[in-house]
Amino acid sequence: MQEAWIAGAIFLVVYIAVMTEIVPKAVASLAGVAAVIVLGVLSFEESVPFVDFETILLLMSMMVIVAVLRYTGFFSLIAMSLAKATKGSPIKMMVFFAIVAAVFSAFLDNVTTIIILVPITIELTIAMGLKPHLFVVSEAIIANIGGAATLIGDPPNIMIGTANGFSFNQFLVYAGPIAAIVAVFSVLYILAANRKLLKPIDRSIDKLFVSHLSIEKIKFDYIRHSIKSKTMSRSFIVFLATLGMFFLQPVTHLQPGVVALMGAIVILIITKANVEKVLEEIEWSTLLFFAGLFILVGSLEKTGIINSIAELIFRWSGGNELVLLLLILWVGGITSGILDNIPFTATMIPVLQQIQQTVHIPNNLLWWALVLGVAFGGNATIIGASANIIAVGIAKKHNHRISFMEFFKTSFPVFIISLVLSSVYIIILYRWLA
Amino acid sequence: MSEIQNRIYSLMRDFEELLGANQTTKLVYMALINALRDLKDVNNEAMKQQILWLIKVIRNSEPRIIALNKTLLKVEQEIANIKGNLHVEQCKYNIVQMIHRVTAHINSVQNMLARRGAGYIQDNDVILIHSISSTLYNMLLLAKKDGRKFSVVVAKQDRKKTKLIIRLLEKHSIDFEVLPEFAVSHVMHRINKVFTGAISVTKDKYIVANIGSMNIVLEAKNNNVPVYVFVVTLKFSHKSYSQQHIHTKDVMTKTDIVNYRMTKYSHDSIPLKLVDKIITEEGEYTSRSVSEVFEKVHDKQIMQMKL
Repeated sequence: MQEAWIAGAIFLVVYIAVMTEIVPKAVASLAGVAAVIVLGVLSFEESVPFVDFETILLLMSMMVIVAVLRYTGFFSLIAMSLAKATKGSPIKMMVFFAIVAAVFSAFLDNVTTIIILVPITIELTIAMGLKPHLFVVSEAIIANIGGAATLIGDPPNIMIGTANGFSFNQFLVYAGPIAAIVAVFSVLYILAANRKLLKPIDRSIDKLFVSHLSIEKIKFDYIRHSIKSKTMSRSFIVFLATLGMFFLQPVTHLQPGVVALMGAIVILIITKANVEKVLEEIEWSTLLFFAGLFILVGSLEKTGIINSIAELIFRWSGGNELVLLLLILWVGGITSGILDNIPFTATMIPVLQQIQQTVHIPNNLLWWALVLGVAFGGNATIIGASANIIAVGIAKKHNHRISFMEFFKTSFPVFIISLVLSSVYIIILYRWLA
Repeated sequence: MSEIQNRIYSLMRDFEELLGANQTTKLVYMALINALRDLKDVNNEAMKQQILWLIKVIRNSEPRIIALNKTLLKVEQEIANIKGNLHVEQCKYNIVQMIHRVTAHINSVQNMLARRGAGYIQDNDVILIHSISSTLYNMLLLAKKDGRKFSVVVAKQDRKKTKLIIRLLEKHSIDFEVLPEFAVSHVMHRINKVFTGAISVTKDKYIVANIGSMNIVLEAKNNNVPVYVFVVTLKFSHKSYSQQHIHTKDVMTKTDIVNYRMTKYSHDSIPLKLVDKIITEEGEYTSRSVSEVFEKVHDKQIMQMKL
């Protein structure tokens, strides 16, 4: 009993430290690990097996692939081609960049998507004589939504997927369609709510001229210096092959982490990339944060706290499966809107595994509710997702300050739309599959 | 000055500093063609007025890009010739065709200058360059193709620009070394030619060139190293150097001890008497003989030029 209190208290302190960012996330979680070992909640030997090495392997390998592809200028090239295709239409720009943000974030992490798209968006909107705020906020929102679509789109998906052995295709089939629907509705909402701000500039030659001259400038700044066409084509082939292997998982039976690792090794070999530089691009602190978190959640599991949370949630639902699903979706969404969704997901994984032993909801619907909740929840507030914070940070660097309320005005309605649509989706799936 | 004018001038300045006046001229024309293509729902007259206003803005850029200014006269002429009843798409087509002819003419004179300029590079030359225009780059390339053995010393300026120069030289296996622009005095004894481009040559006998060029030229004069300016005749301006709209910007700088205002200039103006040879696509001139070029490139001549 005493061990449970200690484990709970350490977890809470780590959670607060992560939330308030008093110390870096990795330091907080590793300090928590040290505390649970020193205070005897877990022995060192007991703690190691709790680390989900497949999740860490998958994250690390995808970071390598993305780092090499980014280095070749591939993503900037796509963003630039789209910028040219907008032909001075803010609506086209909003729609095209939303599509790219959704697709990029389905295959890259959301922060990388934002780092690639937002600086180009800011330059382009200014060139069109528009305020970039709405475009920046929209891209962060759509990146969070797109991240829900695939196994590799968002760290919580990787955690949930590897913990349950979900395949890439399972994610595409269950989370993909609703992510696409939510993205479409969100863009439609943003366009409708801001139609006055999105007036076309195609009747004004001076604005069109500045826009085209700016595109040349952006092309020069972001592409001409960075394009490495030989390595780009090679890396893109490896990227496609890796995705192909994800799709073929039912045939190959290779875990996603192993597939990604193979992709990372091949891309490093055939592009002859500077390994030292690529390794610098890997977010080691995030990986260490994950490793520490797995051990901390393991300590909660061992001391029975996870069991108690599972029982509590089950009791709240009154034993009704549908209520339970919606509870997971909405609690996941609201919590992720306020707190970091990674520790929340790490905690919820064993909780749901526990609940699943009691109730037998078909086709892993409990998990899909969690996936959608934590992904779309990131849009509730500016602090709901790392992508939001990074997007606003980049805008600030370009002298465009986006306030909490300005972000909230666009993101919160999208958050509500996403969770309402997801609720309908979950209800339909439940009724249909049951 | 309106926000849009500021933005246009800032973009043109960025391009000019990085790529030179010729490339900037081409980029401006390309943007103009694309803007015309995307322009919708305007009638013939409104379109003409919009373009004429835009041309006026471009011609007053900071600094003035003379080759662009002069060739825009031909575009203005084409617009003036457009008849009121002509379909707007046909008007656009006519203007775009004129822009294509103008850019083809610029390319042609630039190539002539590059060919002529390459002849000034001899075996064992050690050439100091400060910035690289497309003409200067093509000259070096042609000389290299002709098998001449020479090396280039690059006086380093901002990182982006120097990186661009180095990339070009490396791509074509031209021997080079880089040193800070403030340290050229240490190598001037090894240099036998200084090459520079210019954004304009003014009626009162100055050249307007990239910032920092003046120091290099003075250093060269101090060491009796000849200075060559390669410039197409389209860049000869009938206005004085003070009318070239050299951009100035006051920057407030904060330090621990004191806050101070610093004025930054976009370009240098160099008296032609410090230059040994001025090479155009038509021939070689000195600071004395260069006056005759001004007669050939008067606005009237440009208007009468058949492209």
